[in-house]
Amino acid sequence: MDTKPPVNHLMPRMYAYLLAVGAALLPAVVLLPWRAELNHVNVVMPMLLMVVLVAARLGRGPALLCGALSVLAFDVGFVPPHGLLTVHDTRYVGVFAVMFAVAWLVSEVAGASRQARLQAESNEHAQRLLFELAARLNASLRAADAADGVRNFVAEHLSGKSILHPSTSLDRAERAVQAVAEGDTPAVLRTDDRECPVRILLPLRGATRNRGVLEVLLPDHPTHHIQGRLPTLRAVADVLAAGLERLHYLDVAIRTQAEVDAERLRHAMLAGLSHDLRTPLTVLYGWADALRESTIGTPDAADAAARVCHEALRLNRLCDSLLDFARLRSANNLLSRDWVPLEELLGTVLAGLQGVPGASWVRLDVPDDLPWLHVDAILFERLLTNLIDNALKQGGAEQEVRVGAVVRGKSIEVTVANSGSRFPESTEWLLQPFAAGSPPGHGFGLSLCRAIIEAHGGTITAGNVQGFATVTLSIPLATSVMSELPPLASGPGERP
Amino acid sequence: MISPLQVLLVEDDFAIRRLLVDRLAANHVQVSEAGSLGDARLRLGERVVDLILLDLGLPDGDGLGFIEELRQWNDVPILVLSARDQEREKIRALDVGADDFLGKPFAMGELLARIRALTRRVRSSRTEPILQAGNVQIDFAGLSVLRDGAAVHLTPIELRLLLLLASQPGRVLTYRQMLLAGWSSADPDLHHYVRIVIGHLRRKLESDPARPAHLLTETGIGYRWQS
Repeated sequence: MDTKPPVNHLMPRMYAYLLAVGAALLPAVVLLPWRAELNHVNVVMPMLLMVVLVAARLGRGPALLCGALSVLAFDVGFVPPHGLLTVHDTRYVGVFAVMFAVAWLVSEVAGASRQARLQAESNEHAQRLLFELAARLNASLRAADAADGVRNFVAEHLSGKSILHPSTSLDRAERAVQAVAEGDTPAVLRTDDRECPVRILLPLRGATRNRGVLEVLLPDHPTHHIQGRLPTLRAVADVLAAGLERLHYLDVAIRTQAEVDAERLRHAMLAGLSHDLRTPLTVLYGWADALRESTIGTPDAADAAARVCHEALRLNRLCDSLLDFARLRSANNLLSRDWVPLEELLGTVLAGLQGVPGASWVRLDVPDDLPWLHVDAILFERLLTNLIDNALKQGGAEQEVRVGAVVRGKSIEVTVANSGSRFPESTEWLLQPFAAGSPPGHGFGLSLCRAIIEAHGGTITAGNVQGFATVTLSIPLATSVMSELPPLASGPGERP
Repeated sequence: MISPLQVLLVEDDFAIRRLLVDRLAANHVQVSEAGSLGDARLRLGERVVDLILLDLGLPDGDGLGFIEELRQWNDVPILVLSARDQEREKIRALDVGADDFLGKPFAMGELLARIRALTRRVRSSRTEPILQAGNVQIDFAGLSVLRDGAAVHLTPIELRLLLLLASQPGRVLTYRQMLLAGWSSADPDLHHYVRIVIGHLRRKLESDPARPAHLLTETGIGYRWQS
């Protein structure tokens, strides 16, 4: 890797050449006093040793210099006539050539091994840095921390800048960034920036999808080619992507856990509320009911007891509605859908409303061949009960209440209409529970109706149609098909 | 003379126990009380009762398990007292052998009517071969049904489900139970088979099929016969 320049074992060039000069002259100077006694070989050998040493330690240039100087010193100092450069003496051309060849070869071999060592060290350095970066990203708990880690890394080791474009903000990013985010390959661009003209965009490749784009701005480096840096940068991007992905899943896990906890709490609260409210309600209603039936009290007392009963039941219904409402709003509410004929639902609704004045006069206008509804029967019964109860209570005793049903397009429309009242022009109150301005008695009941019908994918509207205050439910026709009754003969029930 | 009804009340809330003991006694029903399942087992060992009033949420165990355990050796009618919002619990209680349920709060008149309907069945209906309900007459032995004195033609499955319901007046039969009886299937996607057959029966037997007097719907749960 080419991040921080690896520690250079070659000495600064000037000193290297000075040393080479010294190394060439040293044997000559030392051996000069004994030149009479010494054979030429005895002089050449130490000089060759010096050339080898210089080649191994200082590189090719100094070695060649050392070789040349050695031959020169040998020629001048040891080949008679002493003190003169005898160029015509061709006997020593061989020595000269050997010196050069040795200097060249040794420096080549030494250079290659040094290069390999440097490469290995550099690789190790790169690995360590990446490892540190990964460790840092792994420890970060926020995407911003991870981005900081990469920014420091790039600043410190590449003298550049980095910008993280997370996947959430890509729609605001420029097109080049978006293009990289969608693909798999980095893009190298050049900008006018004087400091960092090289702009590299790297996709952050996650296991499931891209996690965004890492933008790196680098100075133009004279020796390191940009293409040579790409593998490193890709590795950084991958480490960052893994870190961001981990954070994403951590976030998802934390959020899911919080939702599960909230849901569990809500259920516990609902169950507790239901039980704790209903137990005293049962006792209250029971004793008031006993008082009402009692023959001892005065008619006034019986009347008062009847009122208590009435209010206790109202409180109980309110409790039901609240629980239904909370349950419908809860995230994992599952409807238990079943095939139900509307006629049967209306039958139980009207039977349940028997105590309400006018309930037995409700006009039903449901065609025999109306398709069955595919709905949660219990919730739908509550929905219809609410609507018909409201309709009965809104008008006076003289009014007419009608329930109708018809197939319109791909929906079944059920209408509950009463002639005794009118809805206000604005139907805003239909949309909000407890909204101000809702007609008396409508507020919560209709909001619950709306929650139920919407859970079934339908709609509820209110308006005045031909003198009738009309609530219209629109329920999409079921997409699945109701299976037919099997032929009776094939059933196991021939005779009971 | 018929001896007064003996009812075992299994309910952990003291205030509700007091209310029911007092009100039922005023209506000539003798009540023995149990505050837990353990108590209930003791009381059942002491005396024979005509009916059990059972709250499902008890401190020492699951009311459903208690019903199952009891049904191993005893077919005393069980009336479950429950909050209205516990539909699933109700269905499971009925499936394992409870006879009927009543949501809290309830009127004493309604409770007494349910108790009478369930105990009358045990005391009489199984020995009577003919059931007269309004203008409908069902002959269990002869497997025939008359409406206003005229024979009604029923398919085998209609007859089977009608006899199942009418032989146990007041008892709620769940979709599952009726599906098993009629088609030997417990597939919840086939509940509408039961609704279709009940629809046919209502057209053949009820004066106003839209507002039935005998074949009553317990929405989302099943049907009951009312004589």
